[in-house]
Amino acid sequence: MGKIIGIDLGTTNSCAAVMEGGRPVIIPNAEGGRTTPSVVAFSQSGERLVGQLALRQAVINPERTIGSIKREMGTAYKVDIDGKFFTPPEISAMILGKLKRDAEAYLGETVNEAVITVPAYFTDAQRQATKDAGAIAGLEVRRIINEPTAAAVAYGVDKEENQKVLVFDLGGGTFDVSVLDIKDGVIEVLATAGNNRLGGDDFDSCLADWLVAEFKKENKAELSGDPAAMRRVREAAEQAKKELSASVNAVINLPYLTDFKGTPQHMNISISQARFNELTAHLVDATAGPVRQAMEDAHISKSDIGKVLLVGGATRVPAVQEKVKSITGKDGFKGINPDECVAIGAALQGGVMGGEVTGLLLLDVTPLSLGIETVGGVCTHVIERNTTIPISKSQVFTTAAHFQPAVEIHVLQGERPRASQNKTLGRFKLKGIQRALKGVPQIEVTFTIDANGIVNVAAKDLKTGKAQEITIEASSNMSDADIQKAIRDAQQYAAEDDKFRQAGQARTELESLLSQAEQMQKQAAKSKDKQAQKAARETLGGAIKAAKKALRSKNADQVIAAGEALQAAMTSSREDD
Amino acid sequence: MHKMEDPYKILGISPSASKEELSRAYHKLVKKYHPDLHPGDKAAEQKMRQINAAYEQIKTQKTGGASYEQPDGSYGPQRHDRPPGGGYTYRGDDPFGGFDFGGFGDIFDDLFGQGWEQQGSGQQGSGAPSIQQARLLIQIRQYREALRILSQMPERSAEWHYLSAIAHAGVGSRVTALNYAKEAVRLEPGNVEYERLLNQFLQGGFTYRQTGQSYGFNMQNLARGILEILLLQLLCLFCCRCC
Repeated sequence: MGKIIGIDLGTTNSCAAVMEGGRPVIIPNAEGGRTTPSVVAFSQSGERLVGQLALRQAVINPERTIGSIKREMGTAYKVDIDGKFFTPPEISAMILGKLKRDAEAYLGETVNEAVITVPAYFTDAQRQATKDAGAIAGLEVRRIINEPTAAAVAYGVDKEENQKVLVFDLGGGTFDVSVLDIKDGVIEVLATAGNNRLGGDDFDSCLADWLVAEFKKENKAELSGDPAAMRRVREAAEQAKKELSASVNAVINLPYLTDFKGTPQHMNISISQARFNELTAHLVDATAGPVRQAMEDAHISKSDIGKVLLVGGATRVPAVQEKVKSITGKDGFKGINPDECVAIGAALQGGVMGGEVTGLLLLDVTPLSLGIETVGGVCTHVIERNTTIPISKSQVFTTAAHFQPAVEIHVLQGERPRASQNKTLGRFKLKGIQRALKGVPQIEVTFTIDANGIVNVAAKDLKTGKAQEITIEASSNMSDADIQKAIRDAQQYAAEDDKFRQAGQARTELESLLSQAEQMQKQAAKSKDKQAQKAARETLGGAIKAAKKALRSKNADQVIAAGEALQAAMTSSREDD
Repeated sequence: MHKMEDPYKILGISPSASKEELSRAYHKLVKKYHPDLHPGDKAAEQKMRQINAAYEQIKTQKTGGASYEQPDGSYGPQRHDRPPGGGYTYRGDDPFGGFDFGGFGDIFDDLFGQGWEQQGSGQQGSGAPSIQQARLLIQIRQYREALRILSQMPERSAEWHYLSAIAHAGVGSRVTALNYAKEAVRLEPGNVEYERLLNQFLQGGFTYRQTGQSYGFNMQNLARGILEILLLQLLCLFCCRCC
């Protein structure tokens, strides 16, 4: 059996790890980095780029560069590239595909299985979409685990001491808080809370917006309509944010940012940490609610917390760290790498499932309550949030009207009292209920959540035994047929990518061959031997011409053919000597 | 799902087990049956689901503030011998289809009807502000919020248990609700309201509608002295909700 790799599929950066010799190690990518930017780009020539390469060309190709796709997982959003539409799982699959290839290169064996992490607060649809992305990339997703939980696993794996841990995970685009109990090798999630739309990206946007406004004040030039300039400003904002974590001042210097009435405009703005804190105070404040809720749900107070783990790059922001300390009364634990610990935890979980890691067990919870709509548009919970999974729970309901022939089971996820305020996971009908006065029929509704947090709902008329069930597939998610098609597409892209790589390689080879050939031709021309001169001209001349033409054509097959011809001509020309 | 077994039996502990014993017993079972340790084994996953359901149930009873020793270890929302609660909306000819503001109607009936008249009777409200909040929240069917407030209160009187019972029934935890109702009656025997609620639970058939109504009725006795404050708060809340 092959290895099960652990993947942290992040909003801005992704990371992969694997168990080696009983220890989790980070898998470096092909470019040598330990994390891979979660960016996919389609170059003007149609080449597909993933990771560092995609990020590097983002400034010159902003319209065809896709970042933060994780924020769209589980929605109906589509990316339009030259009239071809890509779903968020398909784009994510491109990132997963790269991580898979890099892992295969590192391990020297094929990788077909993975444990992928998602924010704890991801809904059912978002989890399903992540699973789909894995399938499209050719990975069997053995388990979806929650990011803060994974971080706690990475921390808790070698800890003897029993303690309660609070994980504060502020990633690129999502925010999670989990409270866990680490006891005798069992890591039990007590409570989790969060916000799916809060992360480091929002800090960058805040700063970028301010920069654009400042720039307008100084230079009168509007940047918002210029995607390339905006991309540069955003990148500079992200850089400045990072600098401000270590120093009290940062300078944003972007020469030739835009043109205004024919003169080039440069950005040169300085920002203090205090000003940055002011700009992002509302974001920092927004983290407090979920922390308090998680502590309350776990029935713990400040003094019960043994360690606070800070996960995600955005927890490096000093104001965030201060906030955490003010609520929990503790400084964040510095002993884990906030960028890598999630992938490490995922790899450990992969190790548990592959039998390589023993004495470690993870008990995760469902982050949001599940229920159905009942009379008056009320959301009635069947499974409460923070219930340990896998679980099955049933509840008996009845009809609201006399002789009601059918009930619609409207499956909901969320904490709000009204059905309409929660997220609809799906609807199905149970028909053929025996004619009876209201309140008489007994309809048993059973919710099952599997170990990945994916939901199945069944309804059964206890009188007639009629039953109906669904595995929740939100309308925004892909059907099996869609996934199969996407898998084929992905394989085709991989083949095209290979062709692109080969074509690039062939070009380079042909170019160097060509210069060698021209060198040979020059030498032959200097030669006293008229016979040899003529032979060289005949054999090499034609091939060189063809090679130059092929290089101009940009046709991969032609380049390869010309390369072979030139090689043959050079060989025969050498033999003639 | 089939008839739910006794959660204490599933975990192999007695109803009087301590929190520590519960956790220990649970971990022991988890290490035996967790699907991570038995990839692809459906039976193990099935067993684990059952264990988790039992664990959750006992934990909820416990952290909900009820005394850990349940008088009869009553359990099992899946018990079919108990008449069903809750009601479905049936789109089509459902008389209650769409939004039902009946909750507010009930409250105003109480307040302006009999409730308001009783305001002058001079009885002082017995509850602390939190109890009042909880009551108010229950009236507007914000059961979850009510539970949150109740869980923060250190003092657990008969009334606290009574309100907890209603709130738990409101969120569908009927067994827990039943236990609270029993506790309320035990703490204050002879209180008609508490007994009525308990009887209602024991006889089953408490749909949300009925719960609301019965509570509305009880409010007459419960909330006499504090109605003035209550009304103000309610109006505030009502306005906020409308805007």
